[in-house]
Amino acid sequence: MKTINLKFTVNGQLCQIITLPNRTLLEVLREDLNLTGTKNGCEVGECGACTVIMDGNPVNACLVLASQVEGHCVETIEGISSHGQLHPLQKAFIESGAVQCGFCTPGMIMASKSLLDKNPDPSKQEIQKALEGNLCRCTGYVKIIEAVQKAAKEMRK
Amino acid sequence: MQPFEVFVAHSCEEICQLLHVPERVLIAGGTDLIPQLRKGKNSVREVIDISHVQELKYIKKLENKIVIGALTTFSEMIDSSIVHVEAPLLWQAANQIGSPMTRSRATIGGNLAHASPAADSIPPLLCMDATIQLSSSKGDRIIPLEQFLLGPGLTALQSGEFIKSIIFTPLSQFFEYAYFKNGARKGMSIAITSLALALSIKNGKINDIRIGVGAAAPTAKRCIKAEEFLMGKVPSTEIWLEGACIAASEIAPIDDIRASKDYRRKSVESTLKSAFVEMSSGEKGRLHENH
Repeated sequence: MKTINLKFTVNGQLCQIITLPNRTLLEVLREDLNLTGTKNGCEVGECGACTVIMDGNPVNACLVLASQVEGHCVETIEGISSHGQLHPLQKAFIESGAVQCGFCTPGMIMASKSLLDKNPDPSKQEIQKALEGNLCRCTGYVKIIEAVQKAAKEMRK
Repeated sequence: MQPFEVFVAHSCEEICQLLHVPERVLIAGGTDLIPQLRKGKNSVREVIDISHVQELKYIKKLENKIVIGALTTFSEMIDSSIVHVEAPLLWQAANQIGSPMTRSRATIGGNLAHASPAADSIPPLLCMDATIQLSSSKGDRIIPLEQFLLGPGLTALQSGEFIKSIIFTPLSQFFEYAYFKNGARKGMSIAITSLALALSIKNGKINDIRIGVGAAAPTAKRCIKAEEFLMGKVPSTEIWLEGACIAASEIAPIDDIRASKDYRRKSVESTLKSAFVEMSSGEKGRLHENH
């Protein structure tokens, strides 16, 4: 296989990598850029553990072919805290008991962030809709929804 | 995934040139293709990445029709006031596809090219008499969507051809409409059956009716016999029941991992029955935003 060159932005930083074409953004983030916060759950876009934000939209990184990220902006869980301060969503998830094993959490937070970035005052139904692609096997989702509501309230201040 | 080469196209012209090798497969949103590649669709050795072809991303009005470029994502259609206001059936269906992550990437061209009998965009498009524009280095052609869909996963795309756009006639403001998706859960489910329904009543009689059914035949289809039966009739419970019964006899569901054919037939019939009654008696406008 011929390698491909990619130039794209991750968490505000320009990255240039050379990689094989039969890889996905998920593999590039985790293996080439050591950004292992984005998790590999199913590799077929069903579980949402690999949710990142690309050009402002939530996407499953496992379904983005490497070549497709060229020229685009990606935000991962590693990028949402700033100057050592946790993002309100991260704080709310911790405080609300929305984290058990933590494996779904980065994906849940990125999907939630994508919602709150566009809709700062979502209803419970809108939160459920925004998280319909994120599975959690531990919590039963109640605390996760409460965490998003808590973060939304905090972010509206 | 198995080894493959990727060629990146930046324009329709480049897609045409790259498709001179007919074994090459296009990738747009990748939401169907990448899972297939992971499951070992082993014949694929060369992939053409068309996700960067900006000229295929648009939603516009052209005279009395709406034209959507093949690479428009479902999220873009949901955010479009043209689609929301003038093609609400399609808008409702788009909202029920996958998850927000799927909708950010999945394209209308991909939904059509994949030609799943359960594709959510297809019953609404059939209800709006959609035609599809296909392109190749030999030029463009436009065919009715019914003629494009040949069977489960089978389309009329010829070697070297790709989908450029979908064109349809918006329903007038006088229609009641709703898209019903019967799935195992609200989000992230493939339709067990789906129903796109648009109804217009004038002077106490049914003056236009469109019934599009998905996941209940080799391709999504209109229930033409039921539509013909209902046209011009004065709505009544008996008329609706008979119309639903005729529609249920026109479809050709199968048993598969999601449901049995009997369940599918009953699902279409009973959804139609209750939808007809609600739509002809209820207030104007959307019936179900989320089912």
